[in-house]
Amino acid sequence: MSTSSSSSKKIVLKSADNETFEIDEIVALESQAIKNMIEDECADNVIPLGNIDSKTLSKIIEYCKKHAESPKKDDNADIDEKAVEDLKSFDAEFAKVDMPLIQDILMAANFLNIDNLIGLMCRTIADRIKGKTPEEIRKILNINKNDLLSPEQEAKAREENSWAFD
Amino acid sequence: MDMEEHPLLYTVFSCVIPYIHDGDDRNSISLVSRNLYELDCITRRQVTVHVRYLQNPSRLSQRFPYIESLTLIGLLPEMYSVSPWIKELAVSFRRLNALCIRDMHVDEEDLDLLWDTRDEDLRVLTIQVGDVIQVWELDE
Repeated sequence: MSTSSSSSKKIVLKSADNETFEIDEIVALESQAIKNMIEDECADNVIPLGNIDSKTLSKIIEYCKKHAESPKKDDNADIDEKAVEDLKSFDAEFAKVDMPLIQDILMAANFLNIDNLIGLMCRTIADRIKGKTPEEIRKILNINKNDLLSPEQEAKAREENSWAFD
Repeated sequence: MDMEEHPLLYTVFSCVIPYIHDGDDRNSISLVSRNLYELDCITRRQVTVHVRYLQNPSRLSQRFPYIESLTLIGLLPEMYSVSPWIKELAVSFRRLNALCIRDMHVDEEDLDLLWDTRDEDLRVLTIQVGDVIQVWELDE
C-alpha cells in the first residue's frame, strides 16, 4: 500500500550479508539512529548495517513501513481509533515468529533505536515467559547448560526467593 | 547451545527484564541461569519481605542492592523490631525512596537514625500497626 511517489527521497540499507534494501526516507526515519545520521548529514547513499542479517532487516523494514504509513495522532479522532486498532493487529501478527528471530529483531531494533519495536519485542518475550517454570523458560530461551546455577547456588536462590515477594 | 550466544542473550534479557513485574515470574527467572539470576538481582525495584523468614537484613541488600521500594512485614509488633533493618538502611539500599513498615516495633531511636541517614532520598514512609496507618510524604 506504499504510495510510491517517485519524488520521495530514497535511502539504501545494506545488510550484513550484503543485500541492499531501497526504502523511502520517511520509513528509515522510524529509526532514531538513522534519523540522527541523516540529520547530521553523515549518511551516505548506502547505510551499511554490518550486524543485521537480511532476514532480520526485511522484518524491520516491514515494521517501519507499516508504522510510517499509519496516520499519526491528529485532528480526526475516528481515524485515529481505527488506525490504532489496525496497528495493534499488525503488531500482534508481526510478533508471531520464532524466538531466535524475535531476539535478533530486538537486538537490531536496539541498535537502530526504534522504540516501539523494542517495546513490542520485549513484551512478546515477557508474555511467552509469563507463568512458566524455570525449566520451561530455559527451553524457550535455549539457555546454555554451562550457565545453569550450581546446586548450591540454586538452593541459595530458592531460599532467598522464599522471603522476597513482589 | 552455543557458548557465544550468551552475551547476546544477556543483552536481550537486559532489555526484557524491566517488562517483567510479577514477583513469581521474577522468582522463576532467577532460577533459570546464572546470568538471569544476576540480572534479576540488579534490576528488582520493589520487594516485600516477611521478616519472620529473614533474620539478617544484609542478605536482602546483597541480593537486591538497587531496590527503590521496600515493604517489611512483621507479625506482631512486640515480636519484631525494625531496628536491625533501619541500621541496614543507614548503610545500603542507596536508591530506596519508599519504605513501608507493617506490624513491627518502631521506636524513636529508629526514626531518628532513619531521618539522620536517609533524609535526603526517602520520599514516602508508611508505618502501619493493625488498622492504624501513619504516612509521611517528604516531597521536595
